[in-house]
Amino acid sequence: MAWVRLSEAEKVYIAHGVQEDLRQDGRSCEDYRCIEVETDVVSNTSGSARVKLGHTDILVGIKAEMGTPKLERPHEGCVEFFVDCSANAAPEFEGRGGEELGTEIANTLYRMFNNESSLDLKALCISQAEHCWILYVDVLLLECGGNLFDAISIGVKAALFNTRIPKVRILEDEEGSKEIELSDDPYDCIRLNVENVPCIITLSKIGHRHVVDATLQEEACTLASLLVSVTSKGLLTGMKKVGKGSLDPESIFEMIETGKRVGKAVHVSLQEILNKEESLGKQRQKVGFLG
Amino acid sequence: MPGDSRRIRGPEESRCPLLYALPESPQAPEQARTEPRPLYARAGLLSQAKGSAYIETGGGGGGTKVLSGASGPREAERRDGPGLRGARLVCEFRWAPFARLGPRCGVGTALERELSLALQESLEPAVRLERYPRAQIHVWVLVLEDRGSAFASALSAASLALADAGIEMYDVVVGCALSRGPGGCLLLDPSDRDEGRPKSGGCLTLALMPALNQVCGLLCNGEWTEESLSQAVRLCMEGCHRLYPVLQQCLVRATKRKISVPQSGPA
Amino acid sequence: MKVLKWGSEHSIWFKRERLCSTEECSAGSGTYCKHGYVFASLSGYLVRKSENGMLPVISVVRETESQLLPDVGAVVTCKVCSINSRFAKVQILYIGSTPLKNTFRGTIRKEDIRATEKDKVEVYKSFRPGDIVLAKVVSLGDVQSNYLLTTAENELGVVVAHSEAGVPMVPISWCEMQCPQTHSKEFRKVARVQPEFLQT
Repeated sequence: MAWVRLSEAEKVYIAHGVQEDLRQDGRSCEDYRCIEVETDVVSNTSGSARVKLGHTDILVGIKAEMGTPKLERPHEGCVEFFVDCSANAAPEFEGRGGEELGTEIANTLYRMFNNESSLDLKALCISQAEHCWILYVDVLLLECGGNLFDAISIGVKAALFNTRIPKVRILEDEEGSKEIELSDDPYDCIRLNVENVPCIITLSKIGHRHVVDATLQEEACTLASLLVSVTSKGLLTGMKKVGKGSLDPESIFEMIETGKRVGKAVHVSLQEILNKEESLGKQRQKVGFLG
Repeated sequence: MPGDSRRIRGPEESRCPLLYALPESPQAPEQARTEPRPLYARAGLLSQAKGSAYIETGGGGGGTKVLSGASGPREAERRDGPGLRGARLVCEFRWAPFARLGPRCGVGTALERELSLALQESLEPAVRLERYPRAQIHVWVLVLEDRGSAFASALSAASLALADAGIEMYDVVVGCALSRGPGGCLLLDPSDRDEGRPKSGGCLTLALMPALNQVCGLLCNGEWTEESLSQAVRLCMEGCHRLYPVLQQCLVRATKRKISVPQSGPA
Repeated sequence: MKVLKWGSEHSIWFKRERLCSTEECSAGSGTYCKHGYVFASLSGYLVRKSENGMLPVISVVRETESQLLPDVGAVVTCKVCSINSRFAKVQILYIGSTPLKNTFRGTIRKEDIRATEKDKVEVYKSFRPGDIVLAKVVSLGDVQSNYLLTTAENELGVVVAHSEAGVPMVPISWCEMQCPQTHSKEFRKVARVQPEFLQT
């Protein structure tokens, strides 16, 4: 991960602020920074989204490709996550430096999506045990300013919302040989139901309290944090402790509670933004990368 | 997944016959279980490792068997990152290729890497890393047979191995797993059938330092409500407290075998 | 100083009901304090020592030698692996008089070889690969380097060196050693070994 080095005095300053529910940038412990989300930013993808959260900048692109379903799940398509930590985000990521963090994030995403309800994988099946859609979710880290997990999960949800998979039909002739036909109409496509796609909320323990959406400086004061993945209905689809420290059992319960509350609020505002952007359609002014 | 090049394998593609098994008939109504399965632990059994431990849970009809070893502190190979002031803990978690039900599993899968990292992050709070500046401590865990809750046993085994190696620690880490059945009942220390059942509500593995009452690791997937998750965390903690005396006893026995009573101390 | 009690019944480690409160005893090696109590951090035998008038020190004993790591200020015995014009690379074999199970690498920089006239020091006139050197740890080093050692004291420097004929040489001055067989002289930064280190 990208680090900043802090002196003891700076750490004490941040910890005292958190204790008083007033953080460096004026937020309270449960406030997020301003999140900017834009979908459909890369034209050659099935769906894409870009998320800016403070100085964290994430680009998510989804490509839908056809493949064969997994042997043990013949009725389902699958989703593959890749996280690329480019050297733009932090010089440490150069070469293979970002690989470790990238796999860690990708594995966490798998864990949080590994349940029945997050995504309806059956909708991605074209014909049983033969053809299905494989969604390659590629996450690109453009800039690293703390709270990667939350920003990435928001980006993934927005990109999945934006994803349009073309309709295909399987044609079978008399001899039983099958042919795949792709629809010509670019508007003839399936959309994914993202209602239950979870967002990850990272709760970082600073002193005796926990904060959401920690900045890099705050992350440097954190010994342990809890990742909680929450759906819009308030279901928890995963949890993971990260960091070198340990947590009090009582604080875990508090963190779960906060995570659920904050997570639901994030989902509500995210959905609102996505719907609004969708309704604008073609008139939407694209902000792009220089915005 | 990279193939194993050192060995001539059979056909390029093979399948596990279990794929073609009939779907399991609905099981007898599940009972919520709040007791961990019986556990057998032994420390200090490998002669070449500085510390080692073996844990078997379940018993009867085959249980989960986990072997762990520890070495160090030795000179650190890599000196990057903020690990200069304390030791670096390097953890490796692996399944034997034949350990699990179903198809044989390859080496170095994403899950193994994820769990290795989780193992490291769960043990780091317990080890007094600041006592070993610039050094490196290795722990490896091999699952010989996985009949459920392998990662929980791995946590306990790894911390026993570290303690057996004489590494200073704040406390022994005890791992405990829990799975939620389709009916929503909570099963402590699930077997592999409970874990692998489709539509199981989710799995949780918790690592606890019982003497300090600190949770040092938490890993969970599936779908949970806030209440059921809190309940699950509580149950797991209780399970850890139950297993703690067993691990301690095992450690005391190993220590007695390994070191002799100090001779009257420096007079 | 005397051992008050020890024995197998006290060998319990990580006692759930901690060892004692910090008011009764102060924490020695193998223990740590938390919330006003002393806990064990090793599995071993409990030793309680009390000096007259002082709080008894409670510690947990185990064969600790193997745990030892070079620390700043420690006198170490090392073997020279390679030299170049700027530094000598060594392998640390002993800390004080305890052998290490795993050796550590260290560096003696040119300016740390002797205390005076540092600018005139030449590494190859001070050490040769294979020499056994007494040195002191000055720093644990930073990201790039390993342990930094110094021999800038009279008592530190080469203690055992072999001549080109392969015979252990005899020191003849603080900067020279002689081969007893060929009588050829070689330059070394010779240590004046203190008598207490000479016991075998």
